[in-house]
Amino acid sequence: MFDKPRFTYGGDNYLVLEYSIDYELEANFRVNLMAETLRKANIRGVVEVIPSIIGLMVHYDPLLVPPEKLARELQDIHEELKKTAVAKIESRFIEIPVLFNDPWSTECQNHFKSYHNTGDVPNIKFVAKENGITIKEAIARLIKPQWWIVFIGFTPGLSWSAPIGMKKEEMLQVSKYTKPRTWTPVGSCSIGGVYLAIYSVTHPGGYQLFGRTPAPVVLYDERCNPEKPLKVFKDSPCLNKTTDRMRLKPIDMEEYQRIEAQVKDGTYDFYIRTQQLDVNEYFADPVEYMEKLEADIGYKYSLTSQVERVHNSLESAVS
Amino acid sequence: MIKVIHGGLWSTVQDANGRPGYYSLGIPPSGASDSFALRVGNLLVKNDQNAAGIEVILFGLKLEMMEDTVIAVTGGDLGPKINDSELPMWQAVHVKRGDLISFGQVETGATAYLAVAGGIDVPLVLGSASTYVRGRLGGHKGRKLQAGDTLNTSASKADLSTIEGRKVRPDLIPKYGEEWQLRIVFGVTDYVYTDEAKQLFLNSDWKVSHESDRVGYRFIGPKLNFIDRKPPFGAGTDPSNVVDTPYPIGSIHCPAGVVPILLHKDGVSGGGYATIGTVISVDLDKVAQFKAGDIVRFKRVTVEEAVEVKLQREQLLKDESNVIQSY
Repeated sequence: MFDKPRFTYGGDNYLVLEYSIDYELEANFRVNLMAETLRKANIRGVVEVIPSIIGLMVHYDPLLVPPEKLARELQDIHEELKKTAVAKIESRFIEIPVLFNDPWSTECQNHFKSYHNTGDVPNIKFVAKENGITIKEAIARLIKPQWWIVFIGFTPGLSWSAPIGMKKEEMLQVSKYTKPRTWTPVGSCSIGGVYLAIYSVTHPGGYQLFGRTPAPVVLYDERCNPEKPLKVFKDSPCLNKTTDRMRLKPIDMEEYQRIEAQVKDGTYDFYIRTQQLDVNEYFADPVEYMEKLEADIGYKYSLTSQVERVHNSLESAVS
Repeated sequence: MIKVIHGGLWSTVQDANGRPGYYSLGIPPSGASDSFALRVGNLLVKNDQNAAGIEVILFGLKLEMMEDTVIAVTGGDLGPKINDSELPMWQAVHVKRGDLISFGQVETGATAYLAVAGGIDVPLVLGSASTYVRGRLGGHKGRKLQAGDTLNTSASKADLSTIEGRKVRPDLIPKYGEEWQLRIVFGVTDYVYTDEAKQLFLNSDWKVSHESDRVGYRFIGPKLNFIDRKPPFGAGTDPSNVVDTPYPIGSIHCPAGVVPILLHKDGVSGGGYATIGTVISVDLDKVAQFKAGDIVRFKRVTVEEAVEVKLQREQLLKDESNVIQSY
């Protein structure tokens, strides 16, 4: 990670700060701390602050604030932030219901079998193979961590998240499809590289599919009823923002359909809890700290029984 | 009110400014890809410069005017017609109920704008009338126009008789050819490209690919090389890979060193390919007029020069007497 972020210009109205070359969680924390501070600072001429994985982009109006002046202001804010010993990031915990091995993403996987690296359907077979582990262990590594959102983009509300509080050796890493699919059902849950991505609209893509969520991540999800928008979209058309932590909660078809009906009649409510993530405490002991955060909100789940249930539902498909 | 007889290849409702401020949610600014042409069209019919109009790409759009009003067609010459006659461009033209407006033949440029007195009236989404088709939001039902659509128009603030006949100063009417120059500010992750690659980028004639649209324009030309370095953790192993960075609108990336992509108004906010630089905002209007096969050269400018160009553009459009011919 750089001691000082590298500043560079994107044409006449974007300024980009790079914090690192490699992916490092600490760089991402700095990005989000800076983003939070900048947004509160309300600098004249700043149109939007756009966090990315290890960088930050500021969209500004050069006729209201000249680029060099803005760059200096950002440098000053960075120096101020560095001086503060305490670093806390506001971070929400969000539960995402997921039907593993759902019929829709399975149909999609079968349709695009010839585009896949090995033709493995369900794709989780391939994920397990590439990581040298059993399918059961692959399922566990999807359910076990909290997924930390590092970027939102490509389609509205599409989040890209990486496991937080998980040892590097335990993180799943998987190749994308040899040839990207030309469509993927909205709500499909997928993994590519180290990232979890939940399709916010029906869209092409090449990540490995493993399930589907009945819950919309954007207001414009075709499964939503425009006459009965969900409460969660009151302040933003997108469920997620960077610094959210998502936990995948395995559900069965019955619960999937129940949630689907609630989405249609506008009554579905996400489980969301806002917390403060202490950066220093995190780095002292990442695994324990993430468990502490969940304990703080009283969130309980049984990894073993969840993995068991999902694995059993997959048995017939896999054998 | 306007009725759509044929939707054409790709016609959408757009305003000039789009919806900036939602890029961090994966929602690009959208808006008119040639914002100068739409703003001037709006000036001609005495609308707010940001009023919504119809963006017409290439061919096929056919409209029926359902009431008497005044319109202006600006941008690329796509052979606009009023009934069977040629519709003069870059001026405010009176139309009658029942008149048919069509775009027959692409002469120069690729994107035209139809501004109507009062502006197109669609529900605003996130503060804008612009259409973002991939996101299914904004404009007319979040999609391109199709046969059978009807578009409402707002009432004009000015008397139609004071609008009809207004013309753009002839020296301001752009001439669209087949060779272009785009001014670019190097930066973001340009250090990944070799110095030779950067020189080659500036000294080559790039051909516009037919795989080009409001999301991104592609160019055919020489292969660009990247510096020798250990792949960053989390980036992937191709030499053009970086850990995903933010992408400014107008930025150019070159996956694997072939076929540079320029992100336009419906672009994606970030990705994992190294950026060589960003085209200045004023020159994005030119890009809207590219046709497949056109030749483009890039000219490197500083950020100060880029800001100066923007300042001049805004000063020009601030005062309508700079733009509209007086009698």
